[in-house]
Amino acid sequence: MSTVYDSTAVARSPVPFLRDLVESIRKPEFWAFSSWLDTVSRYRRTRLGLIWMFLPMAIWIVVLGNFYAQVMNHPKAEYLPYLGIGYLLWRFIVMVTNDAVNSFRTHKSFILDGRTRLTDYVLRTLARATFYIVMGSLVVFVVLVWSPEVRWQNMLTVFLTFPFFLLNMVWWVFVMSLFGARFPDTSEAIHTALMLGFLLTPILWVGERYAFGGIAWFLMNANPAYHLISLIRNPILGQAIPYSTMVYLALLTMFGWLVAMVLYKRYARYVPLWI
Amino acid sequence: MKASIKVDKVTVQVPYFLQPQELSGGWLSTLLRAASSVPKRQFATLLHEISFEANEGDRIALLGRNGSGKTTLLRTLTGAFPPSDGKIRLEGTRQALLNMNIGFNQEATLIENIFLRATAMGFSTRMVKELITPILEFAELGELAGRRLLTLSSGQRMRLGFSIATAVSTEIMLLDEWFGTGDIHFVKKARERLMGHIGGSKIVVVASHNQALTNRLCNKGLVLERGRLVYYGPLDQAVKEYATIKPTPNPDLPTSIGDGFAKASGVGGMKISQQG
Repeated sequence: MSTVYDSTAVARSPVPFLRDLVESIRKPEFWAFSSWLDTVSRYRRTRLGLIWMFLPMAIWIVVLGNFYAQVMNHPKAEYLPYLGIGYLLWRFIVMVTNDAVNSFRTHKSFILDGRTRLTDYVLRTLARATFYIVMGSLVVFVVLVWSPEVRWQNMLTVFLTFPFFLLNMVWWVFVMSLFGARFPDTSEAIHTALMLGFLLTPILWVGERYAFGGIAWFLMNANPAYHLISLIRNPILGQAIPYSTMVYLALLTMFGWLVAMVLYKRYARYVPLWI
Repeated sequence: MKASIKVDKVTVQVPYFLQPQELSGGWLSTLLRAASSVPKRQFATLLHEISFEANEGDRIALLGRNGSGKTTLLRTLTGAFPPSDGKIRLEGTRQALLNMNIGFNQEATLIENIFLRATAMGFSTRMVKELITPILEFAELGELAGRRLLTLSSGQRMRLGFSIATAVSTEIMLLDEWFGTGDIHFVKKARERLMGHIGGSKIVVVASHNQALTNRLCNKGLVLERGRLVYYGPLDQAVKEYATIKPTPNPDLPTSIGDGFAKASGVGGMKISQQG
């Protein structure tokens, strides 16, 4: 095994991001096992243990769902699945983003020991959030069974839409991780951005009521989280995915992956120095 | 292909944040400054044009004062720090043991931690399964296998870490000083394992201030001072060279740390932020 390090080492492969990603997916032992163990062992000290992985979710949907359905005057049968799916996905986005901005610093000891394939840490971040979304979806599943508004035959779309959602999360997590490593301010800024994002994304509220062209309409439509959530949520609730959402997401995906590939090629090798 | 390390005029620069400080400030101004001063991003050259070659059978002790660049050199050899200039060529499989706590999960059991760390080192889960018993035996921690890691003493953790890292012999082994901190009995055992790995570990590079350990383990010495290679050759000569290095006052060092600290003695200054 021969290895060469010089001032241009990483740039040798044309698309190092894809190369490393494929390598990481081929060797999942490290990131899959360690994120699972992290998640599980986190609850070892607690009495309720793994129940904590979905208890907050259940309380959220039941308490807040009933409350807001009343405040906003929505029928519960429609509103609870709407809130459940939206919140589940939003929680995923929040979790991966918050983890991502600190990810490389958290794994500093690994990186400085020579494990410099950064896509491992990207996948580790995604794996952890995926465990949570799987647990959370058990709660949402109960809500879906209860609600008469759900189109079960449309549930199959999840197998298409969720991987597409994940595909976007991959580039997002890497870009956020890189920014977080280079600019420690990212972590603080992103907390605020995510809080605002929650209010600006139709999770608690239902989006259709904004008139075309208004400020609220614009803010909602510029928000990638809105489109990503609609993509998964709409079919389950028997609504069509707007054409604009499909175009937006196609462009977003291409743009995001391109940015990730360029940034990886240019900056990945500096990450050990930044942290 | 024979195992070898070739380092050719390698320079490493790293960015770091410098907090403007005054040496003569009182406690109040220091406290206020802690909140008000804006950290500046600067670059420090931690290694200056280092060149050396190591071949099979070389067990090299890195010698140098604190902050002279030993750990940086090891990190460059692991591939973490990219050379800003120059070239490194390594032939052979490599294992680095720079951080004792790497990959450990405090709440997980010993066996889970073995999986964790061994997979982090790139072993397949099937391989790890077979390694668990020998690892626990070597670390003499067999009866504690189901305990959570946080219940172990730091010496026991070190034993576990060392056992995992050396469970499969690699051609090039890079070690930082922590592993010399075990009890005498274990250090002896660890040394024997490293020496016994001839045929396994063909090249060992170790940074250590533990002279008793390096004397027994190594046959070559590499002396670093302020990021420059001062001497590379037989160990006894290297130890002599190392002893002659005196903490010389640096003529470039300004009175206020804030300005040229990095330029003057960036190596020492960096060490603090590197260890964090």
